[in-house]
Amino acid sequence: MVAADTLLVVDDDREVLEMLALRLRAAGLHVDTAASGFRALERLRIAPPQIIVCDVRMPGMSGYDLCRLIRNLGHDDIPFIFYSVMGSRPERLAGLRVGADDYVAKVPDPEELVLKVKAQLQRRRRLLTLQQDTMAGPRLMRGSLGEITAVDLVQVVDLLGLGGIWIRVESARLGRSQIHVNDDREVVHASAGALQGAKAFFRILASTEGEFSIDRAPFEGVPQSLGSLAKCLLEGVAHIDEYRQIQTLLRSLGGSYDLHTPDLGSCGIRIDQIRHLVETYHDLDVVLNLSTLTDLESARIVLELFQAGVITPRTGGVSTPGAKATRAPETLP
Amino acid sequence: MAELTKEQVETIESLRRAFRERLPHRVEEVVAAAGDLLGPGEWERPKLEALFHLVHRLTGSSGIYGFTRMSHEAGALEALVTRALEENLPATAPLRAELRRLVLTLSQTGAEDAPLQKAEGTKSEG
Repeated sequence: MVAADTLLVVDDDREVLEMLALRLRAAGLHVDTAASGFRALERLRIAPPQIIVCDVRMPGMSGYDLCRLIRNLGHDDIPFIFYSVMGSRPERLAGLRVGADDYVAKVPDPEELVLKVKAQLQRRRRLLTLQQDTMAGPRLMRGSLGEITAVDLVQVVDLLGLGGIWIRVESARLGRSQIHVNDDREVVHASAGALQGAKAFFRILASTEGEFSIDRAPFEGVPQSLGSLAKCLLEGVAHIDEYRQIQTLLRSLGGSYDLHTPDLGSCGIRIDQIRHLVETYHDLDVVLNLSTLTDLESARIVLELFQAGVITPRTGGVSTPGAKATRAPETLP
Repeated sequence: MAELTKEQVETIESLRRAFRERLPHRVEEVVAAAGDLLGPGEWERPKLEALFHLVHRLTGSSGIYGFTRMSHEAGALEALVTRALEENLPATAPLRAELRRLVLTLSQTGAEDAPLQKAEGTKSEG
């Protein structure tokens, strides 16, 4: 009998299963294993696990097939994480499209996997609690980001099929920010400080700190649809890990830059725009806010410019007014 | 990430040692499957698929066991075989040459390139 909070690992390679199970058990998780998609379905029928970690390419039934089947069987509540040597953007998107919750690279140290498994379990517990409390009143959920991320919150809203609700996050970095999901499950408003639209949605999704709440209340302004919540979430989740990694790296370098070689000539509209913003405003937050590119595109260019020696960390770090700034391009990264 | 106990570290190292002993045989299987595939004429899809499964497993398992160079080289071969399968690429001379080159590189990547190491973040129970 499968115990509570059991993690089911699915991989056709028994050597991988053995090592992975060992590492995950060492991290305090209760692990069950299945050497094929078919075995996994048997396990699921006998006693559903609380979370599934699965390889992508397996003979007979691929990980994508298994994930799709599990979702079609109605097990939307079981978090599903792909664990694979593959990891390009199309592959990650393919995984998310068949209903997976996350995607982790197959590497010797499974720390990222362990963290994501624990986060998904936490999210599942909150989801169950929220399901019980949904009818209790207008305030559905509140708390601090940390153990739960903004992605978790939005996924909870998506999974529960909630509509007519506000997701609010307030933090020092982001200011007051909010998303409204209407009764048709569309995102009709997103704002973060002075940012509006898709850029604000992504910024909220990338939040890892601050206070949050989910409230049932109507939207009374002029709606600006960003599309369905599921679509916005899919696009955001596909880019958020890379964005966070680049942002963490850039912040570790100071977060404020000088243009080292200002007279390079034109390098194309996108790069020129970022160079101009860095030269004028220096501060990473301002550059990201004012750029007409998505956050991920802007951050990638800043990193490339840094690696090429075109920009350098600003000595003495200057705080630039207007870090919670202005324009809001209507594109997701 | 929780620290590993001495016993867990020893178990992991024991598994890695056993895996390293099996690695030459795993590589030989890949080389043999590639040799089988590289006969005259077009690719035979079952042979291409057989090579794919062997090399895919080698990529994943060597990666998770910490043999990163082996995993990297196997991954390069896997990418080529995947492309050949998914795009139904004909067995052109350049493609055959590239496949031979990747197999040769893989066969020259010995397990000694990834010496056994003490697992990170260990602590003793005793």
